[in-house]
Amino acid sequence: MKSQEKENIQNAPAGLSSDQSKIRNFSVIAHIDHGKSTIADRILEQTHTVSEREMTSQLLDQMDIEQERGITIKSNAVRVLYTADNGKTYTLNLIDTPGHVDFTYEVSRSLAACEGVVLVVDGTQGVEAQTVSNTLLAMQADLEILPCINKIDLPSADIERTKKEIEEELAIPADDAICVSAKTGEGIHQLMEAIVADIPAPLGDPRAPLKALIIDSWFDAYRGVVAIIRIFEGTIKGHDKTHLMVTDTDFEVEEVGVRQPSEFPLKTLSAGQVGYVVTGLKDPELVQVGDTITLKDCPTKEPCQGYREAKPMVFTGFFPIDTNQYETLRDALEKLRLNDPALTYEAETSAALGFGFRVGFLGVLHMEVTKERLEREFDLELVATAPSVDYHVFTTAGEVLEITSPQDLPDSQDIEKIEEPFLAAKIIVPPDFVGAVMDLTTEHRGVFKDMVYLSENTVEMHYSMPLSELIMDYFDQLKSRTKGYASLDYEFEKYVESDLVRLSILLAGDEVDALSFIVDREKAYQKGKLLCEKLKKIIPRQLFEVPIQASIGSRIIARTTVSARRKDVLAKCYGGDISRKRKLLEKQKEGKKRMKQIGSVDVPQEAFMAILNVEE
Amino acid sequence: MIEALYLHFPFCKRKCDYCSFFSFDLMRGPCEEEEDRSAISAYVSFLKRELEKVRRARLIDEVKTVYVGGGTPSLLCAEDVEELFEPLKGLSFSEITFEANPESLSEGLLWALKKAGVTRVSLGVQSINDDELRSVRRLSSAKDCERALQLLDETDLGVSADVIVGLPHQTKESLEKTLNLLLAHRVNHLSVYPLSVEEGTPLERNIQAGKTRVGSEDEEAELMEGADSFLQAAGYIHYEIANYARPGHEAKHNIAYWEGKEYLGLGFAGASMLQKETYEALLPLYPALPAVAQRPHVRKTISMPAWEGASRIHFCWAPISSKALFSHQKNETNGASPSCNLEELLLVKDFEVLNHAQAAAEDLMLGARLKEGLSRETIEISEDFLGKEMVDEAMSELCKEGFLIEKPGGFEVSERGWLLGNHIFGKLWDLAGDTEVFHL
Repeated sequence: MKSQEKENIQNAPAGLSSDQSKIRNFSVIAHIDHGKSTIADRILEQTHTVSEREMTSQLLDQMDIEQERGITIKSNAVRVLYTADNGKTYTLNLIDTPGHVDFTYEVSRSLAACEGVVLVVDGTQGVEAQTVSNTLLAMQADLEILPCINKIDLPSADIERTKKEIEEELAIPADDAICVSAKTGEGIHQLMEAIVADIPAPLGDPRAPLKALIIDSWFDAYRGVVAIIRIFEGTIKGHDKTHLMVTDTDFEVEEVGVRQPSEFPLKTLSAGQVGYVVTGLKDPELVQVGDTITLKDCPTKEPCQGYREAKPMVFTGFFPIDTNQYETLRDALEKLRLNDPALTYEAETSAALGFGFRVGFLGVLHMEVTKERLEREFDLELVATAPSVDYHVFTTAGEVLEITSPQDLPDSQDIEKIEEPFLAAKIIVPPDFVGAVMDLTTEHRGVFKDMVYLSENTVEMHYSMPLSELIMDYFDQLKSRTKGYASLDYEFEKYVESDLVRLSILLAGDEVDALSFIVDREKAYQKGKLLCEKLKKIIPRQLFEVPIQASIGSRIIARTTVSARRKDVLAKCYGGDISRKRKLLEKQKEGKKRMKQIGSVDVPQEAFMAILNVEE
Repeated sequence: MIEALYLHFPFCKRKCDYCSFFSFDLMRGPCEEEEDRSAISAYVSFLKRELEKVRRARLIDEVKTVYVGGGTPSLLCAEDVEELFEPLKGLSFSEITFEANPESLSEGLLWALKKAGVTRVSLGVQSINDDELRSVRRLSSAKDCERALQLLDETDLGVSADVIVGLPHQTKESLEKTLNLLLAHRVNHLSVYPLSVEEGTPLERNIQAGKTRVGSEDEEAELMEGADSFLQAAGYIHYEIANYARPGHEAKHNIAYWEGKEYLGLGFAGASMLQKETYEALLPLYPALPAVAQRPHVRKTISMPAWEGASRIHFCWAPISSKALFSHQKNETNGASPSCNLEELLLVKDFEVLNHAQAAAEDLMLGARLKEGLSRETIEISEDFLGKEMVDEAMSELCKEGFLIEKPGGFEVSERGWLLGNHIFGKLWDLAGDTEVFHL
């Protein structure tokens, strides 16, 4: 243990870290690849928070998938101790935030725990769309923003141009922007000095009743749920009897401390500090991001503002390709849910795919990441069906059904009306692309509300649009039609009545429930046709002809055919070729195993997602 | 009992773009022509010693057919041929085939082959169209092909010609023209294969780079079907998936492969399939062969259970490294290392031990290649190891799907089955069950 830390634990709570004037809580905002994690790594390194031996690159992004995709999915908080040029030692709490629209709510909670942000812009790339949205969140939260230009070691870096972009596109003065190279470490010292100098110290009375915001939580098999918290008022310590205000749950604190990034227990945490609390609770659902922890016997008057229940919006079926893996899938989902309360699941049966689960997610990225984790961490091979939203179906019998799977939609004569979730969508884009966004969003049944100029170079457009359209391919198309400049943010708005039908797909004459989807009646014909064409490309030629049909009810609206195979790879088969031939056959068999056999047709996994991007 | 003997000659003047076989491209090699020649001579001496060794051990007394393949065996000169066949003197064979490429087939070589007892020449024609030949960098021209065929016309040797279907630039008409030209000569056997694009070949790279275009599955299927009706109309029997012969001219050596007979391959890239007992007899001759007990030059041993359940063994010879063979040659010519034996470079690769069920399934799979291959008898033998019910079920499924036709005395592959063979083979091989083939 370094002497500084020893001193710290001994002096707590009256020591260094509880002196509010010497605490800085901040977050780093950056576009993917602009160097957020590398800067974080350098800060940890320069403050000797982790030894070089422990230094795996990009410490904050701990999950494999986070590291590989370069995205942060979960929030995180790390404490570093920094002795500034003025000789005083400061506690810097670096709060990492997710960087994707699926997790906007989590971002807003993380930012709520900060007094400032470091805005990192790649000096070779300039300001990019993703940065804009999170910067606006920071502005709305009234945080101090420190612009920082990264990658100045690269010859193509253009500092002046980048400054100009920050000023014009984000309306943030950038004259004093700090220039760094996270790669070489140049400028990191100046950055840390600026953090100390410019980001305000936290406020809040440590003697007031406890008021702590939950930024993130995870499940620990031995200690139950552990939460990362920011304390706004009061003090928390071991054995405190506390109360969760939203879920109305009591628990006795088992331990508090800070992460650096390994856990370091402290006697207390008080107003202004960020740290962890071991709740001992066994049910992760009780510890929700955005909830407020207070003392049971001496509660705070108001909970922290802005709590929103993490409610799944997008639903998809997960089916194991090997039907024997059903139990494994159930156990795996149970395990993932421990650290991801936003995930929901219930059993689902498909005539085509067998036994599986209907799983609910915050958004499509959340779904993709979950599927990848299931496959990688639990060695499962899954078929995922096209995502759906939660439809409210009003039957002629007077019932209201919540339908998240197209196959559950009642027959049309039994339906009075269907309502679907609409979003309030906010698109931020340079003025040149306003037309493109309007075209695209109207195609996706978006209803234009208004638009405002945030600066000369940024327009914010407001739409009301169906979530079902957004999860199809809207986001990808938005990116490609605006050359990556648009950023999208949305929240649930209301349920709206729509004229929807179920489009069914038939393979070789048999309806495949897992391929059906719910679609706007006006678009059904075109979608059906495009999907048939797309499936024709995906489904490999079989030993017999496979007709692909799309139907609404019993009416066929589109048809195409995968013609039968005519010829294999015929290779010579003399002496040494015989072993080779057998190996080829084994490989062929493996390939077939990865497909799902429906009736007598081998269907590749991606067929079930084909509807997601059928546009030409 | 080894019935078929294969000798591999791994040298080519230039490798064709589609070739993934084991062969040295002499044009790309490091040596001058002089040195190439002596490398070839050294290799021939090595093969000769190999033959003498197995002959002394009385392993090839029962061999019925010999096949010299490559590479380009027609790069051998008359003296090489004489030397190579010397150890076989005194044995009688029903067929000795020698592979030749049109541009290197000479009258002198043919004379030497005749003298050595060769009965059959397999000529790598592939096409008699210069555009098609050039597109895959064949060394021979249409003119070379015609000249070689004329030379062969003047002999009484059996003549087989290889034809590739689906070459770049090939059309139904040009393919028919090639076949017509072949049939105008004394060609009594034809191997007709679709062009296969192998991993790592220049052809694959050219296709990926968009420099070369090959036909689609449907186009190739049509060409194959066209060639089939053409040859059958001309009186050739489609006796194996890709082979046609005038009655009585089927390739006996190749049929031995498809009938599950034991074969021994010598030389680098020579492949063998031996019954357990024969393998045991071969073991003392080759320190490089794996055995149940650890041997000094072999890092791997066969596990006891695999060996106890063994029916047959597959393996292939390889040099320690391709370069070693050549640099060794170079040294020898320079006199740097006086008389190092090529034997010392021998390694074993693709070593597999099949159990009885696997061997039975392999026999069915190979038998299905032949018109007469799935006889009632073959099937009954396989049933002992694979289970009658399982075999019956697979056969009736294949019949129902239209891949096999039941006939008196067994099953025959249908026309549809010829082109979609992998489906049949896959199903038959699956009868072996889930146990993995033991391999080293």
